[in-house]
Amino acid sequence: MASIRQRHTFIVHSQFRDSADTLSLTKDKLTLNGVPGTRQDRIIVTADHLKEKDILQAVDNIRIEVVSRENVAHIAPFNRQLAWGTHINVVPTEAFDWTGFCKWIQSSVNSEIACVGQESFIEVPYGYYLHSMYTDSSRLLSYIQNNYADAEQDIAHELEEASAANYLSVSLNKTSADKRIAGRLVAEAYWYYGLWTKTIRAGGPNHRVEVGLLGKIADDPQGELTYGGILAVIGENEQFVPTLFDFSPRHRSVFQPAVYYPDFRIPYGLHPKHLTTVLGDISPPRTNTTLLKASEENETKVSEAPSSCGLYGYYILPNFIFVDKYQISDLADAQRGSVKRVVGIWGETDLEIPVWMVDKWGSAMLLELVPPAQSLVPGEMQKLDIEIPMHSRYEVPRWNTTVATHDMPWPIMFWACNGSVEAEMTTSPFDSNGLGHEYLFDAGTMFYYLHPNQTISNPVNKTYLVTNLNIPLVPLESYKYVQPWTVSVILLGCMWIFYKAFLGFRRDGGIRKAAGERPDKDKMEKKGPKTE
Amino acid sequence: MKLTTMRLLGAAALMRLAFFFYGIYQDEHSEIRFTDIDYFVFTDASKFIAQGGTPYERATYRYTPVLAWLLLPTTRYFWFGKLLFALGDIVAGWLMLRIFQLRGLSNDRALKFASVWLLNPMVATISTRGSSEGLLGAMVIALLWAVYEKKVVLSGVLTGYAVHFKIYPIIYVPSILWALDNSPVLLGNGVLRWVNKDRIKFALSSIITFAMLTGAMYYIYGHPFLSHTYLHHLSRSDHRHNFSPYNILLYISASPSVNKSPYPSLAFIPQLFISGIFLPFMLAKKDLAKTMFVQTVAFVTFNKVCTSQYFMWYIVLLPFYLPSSSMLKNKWLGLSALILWTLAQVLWLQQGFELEYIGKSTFFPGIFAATLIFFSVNVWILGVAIDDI
Repeated sequence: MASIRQRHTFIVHSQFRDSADTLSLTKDKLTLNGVPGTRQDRIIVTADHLKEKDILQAVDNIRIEVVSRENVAHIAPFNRQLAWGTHINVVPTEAFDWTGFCKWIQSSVNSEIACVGQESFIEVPYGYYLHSMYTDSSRLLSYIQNNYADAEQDIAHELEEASAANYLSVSLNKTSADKRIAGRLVAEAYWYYGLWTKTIRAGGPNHRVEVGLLGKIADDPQGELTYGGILAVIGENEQFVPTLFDFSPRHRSVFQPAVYYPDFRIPYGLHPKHLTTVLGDISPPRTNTTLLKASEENETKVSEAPSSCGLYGYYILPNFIFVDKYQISDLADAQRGSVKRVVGIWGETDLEIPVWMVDKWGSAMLLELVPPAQSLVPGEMQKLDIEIPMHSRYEVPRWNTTVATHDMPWPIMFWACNGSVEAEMTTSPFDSNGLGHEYLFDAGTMFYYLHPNQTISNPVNKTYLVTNLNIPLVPLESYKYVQPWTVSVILLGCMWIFYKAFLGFRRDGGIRKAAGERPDKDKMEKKGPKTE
Repeated sequence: MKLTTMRLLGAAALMRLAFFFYGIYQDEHSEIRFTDIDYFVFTDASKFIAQGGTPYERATYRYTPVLAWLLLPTTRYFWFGKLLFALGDIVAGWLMLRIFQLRGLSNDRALKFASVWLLNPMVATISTRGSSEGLLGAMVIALLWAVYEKKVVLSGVLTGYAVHFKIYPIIYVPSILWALDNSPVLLGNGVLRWVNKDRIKFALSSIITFAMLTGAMYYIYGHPFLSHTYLHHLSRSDHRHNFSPYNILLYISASPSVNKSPYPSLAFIPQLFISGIFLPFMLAKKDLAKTMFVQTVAFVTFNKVCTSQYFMWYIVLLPFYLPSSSMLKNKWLGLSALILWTLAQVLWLQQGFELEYIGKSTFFPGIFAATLIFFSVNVWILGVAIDDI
C-alpha cells in the first residue's frame, strides 16, 4: 500500500480531445500544455512522511480550510459551497492544549488569525469551530512544504500553484470509516479554472501519482453523475486508460436556476435586518422516487416533492453582529416570517456585551427556512425574501472616524434532502467528507446548493461574496471633552443641591419643622399666588 | 361628576384594563410589540422554575427569584403578570390615599394628587407593558403607609422585602430611622438617646426580613442568585446608550481604547451621599414622604444608568411632594419645569432614534449633550423641591 497518494483531477469539457501537443505521457512523466479546465489536487500522506507530528497526535479530527473571497463557479463534481475565510474545525483529544494549538495556528496557518485559547472557538455539535476573515494561504502552504518529506518527489511547484487556488483544505481524521484516509493527512486544492501547463512526474515506490482528465458524460440531476475520460498512474501506465464511472455525490448545485443575494436593509441602525432574496425556481429537488411515482400513476400534474427536503440557510456571524436566539425562536414559533425552525445557534449569543468583551470569533447559525408555496406550474419563477433580524455590538471607539466598516460572508443557502438510503449513495471520489456544516445533518443527507447571485468572477472583473455593514461608534477625539464636562456637570449639580438644602435649613432654622404656629403647609388650600 | 375614592380607583382600573386589552391586540397584529421584552424574561424564568430549574437559565434575568415565583401562574395564563403589576398600581394608589388621610389632607385634594399616579398614562402603560415597577411602587407606598400607621415592624418587614427586590429602597432606611423620633428611649443619655424602641424595631425587622429572604434564595439557588441579582448591578458597565450623564464617559472608558477613567467608579459617591445620607439627614425629620421623593429623584438622576422605567420609582412618591410645591403655587415655574423635563427627554430620544434606527453616530455631541441637559433639568427641579420641604 502506497503511503503517499497524489491525485490530479482535471475536469475538462466533454468535447476535449487530446493531441500530442496538449498531452504527452511517458514512462516517468506526464506533460500538459495549455489544457483548459477545472482542477482538483489531492495528496494523502501517512504520518511517517511528515516532519511535525505533534499537532496530529493531539487531535482526533481536524480540518483547516482556506476559501477565497472571490465568487467562483463550483464546477461539478466540486459543488460544495463554503463561506470565504479560514475555517478551523477540530475534535480535540482529552487534555488538549488550546493555547499551544492557537500558537500553532498563528505560526502555521495565518499569523493574523485571532486565537487565544479555547475561548476563541465556538462549540458545535461535532467539535469546535473557528472562523476567521483572513484568506491568505501562504503560511499554510509553507507549513505543508516544510513538513512534507519525500526525497523522491517534491511538490514545490504544486504548492506554488496552490497559492492561486480558490480553495485549500488540510485535514486529518483518525476515526474515518474510509480506510484510505483514516489517520492520514489529506491536503486538497481546487482551482475553478485554469489553462494548465505543467509536468507531473512519477513518485517513488511508496508514492502513487494519478492523473485524470475527466468530462461529465451524464447528469441525472436527482440521481447520479457519470464521468468519463482518461486516467494514468504515472510510472505505471505508459498509455492512458479510458474510464467511465458513475456515483451519487453528496453535494450538488440545484439543477433548476435558483439564485440568491443577501444584504442588509438600509438604514442599518443598531438592529440591522439581514435580507436574502432568492429568485428562480425555488422548488425542492425532486428525487428519482417521485418521478417514478408520477409516471406510474400517469399523472400530468407535478408530483409532490418529497417532504424530506428542507430549505436551509447557514450563516457565519463574526463577533460584531449577533442574533437574539429568543427573538429568532419566537419568529419560528409564531410561524410568521422566514424561519421555519432554528436548528442551532452556536457561539457568542450574549445580548448585552460590547465587541471588545467577546472572546469568541462570533457565532454560526443554521436555520430551516420556510420555502415558498409550491407552484403548480413547474419551472415558474418565484421570489422569496428571507429576513433575519440581527443586532450589532457596540464598537471600540476610534480616532478620526465615527463608523466601523465590516465585511461579512454570504450565508450558504441549500436544500438538504434526507430519505436516500445511505447504501444508495456511493461515495463520490471527490467528496472530502471532512468536518463542516454537513456534520450538522444526519449522515446520508444530500445537499443541493443555490447559486450566489453575482456574476461569476472573471480575471478582470472579480466579484466577491461580501456583505457590508457599518456600525456607528464614538470618536476618541470626544474623550477630551467628555471626561471633564461630565465631571464638572455632576459637581455643579451637587453644589446646587447643597445650596438649596442650605437655604431651606437656614429658613427653617435647622433640620426640623420650623418652630411656631405655622400650620402644616400641605393642609393649606391653594388660593391666590401666595399662601402661608 | 364628583370625584370619589371609588370612582378614582375604578377609573384607574378601567384605564389599565383598556391598555391591557389594547396591548394584546397590538402584539397580535403589529410588528412592533406592545409588551416589554422584560415581561418575556420574567415569564420564561417562571417557566424554567415550573419545570424544576432555576430562573437564571433565562439569559438577562437579573432579579430575585421571588418575582419569578410570583409569576408562576403565567405558565397557565400568560398575561397574569401584567394584571398583577396593574393591580400593584391600584394598591399603591389606594394606600396613597390612606397616607394622605393620615397626613390630614382634605379628601378632594388627596384624590386630585393621587390621580397624578393613578390616572397617569405613562404609569399605566409601563405596568400593562409588563414591567414590574408597579409592584415595586406598591411596596414602597406600603412601607411608607406602615410608618404613618405606626406599624413599625410591618414597615421594617416591607422595607426588607423591597430592598431584597430591588436594592435601591435601602436609601429609605436612613430616612425612616431618622424620622422615627417619637418613641421611648431605651438607652440612657447623650448620643445613645437616639436609639429608641421604634428604631430598634424597624432596624431589626428590616434586617431580619432581608436576611431571611436573601438567605433562603441563596440556599435554594446558590451563587447564580448572588451573581445575577446583586453582583451584576455592582459590576455592570452600562455602555449602551441611556439617559445617565455618565453614559458616554462609561462607553469610552470601558473600551480598550483608553486607560480606564477613575471617575465612573467614584460615581456612587455623590449618588449615595446625597440620596442616602445628606437628604435624609437634612429633611427626614421635616417630612418623611417628601424626603423619600427627593431622595429617589437624586438616586435616579445621579445613577450610572437611567432608563424611563426608573422614573416610576419617584413618580409613585410625587403626589406627596405636590400639595405644597412651589411649582404648583407658581404656575410658570411648574409649567417650565414640566416642559423642560419633557423637552430634554425628547431631545435625547431624537438622538437615540437616529442612532438605533438610522445608524448615525450621535454619541457625541448629540447623546452626550442630551444626557447632560437632562441631568441638569432634573437637578434643577430637585433643588427646587428640596427648598420646598
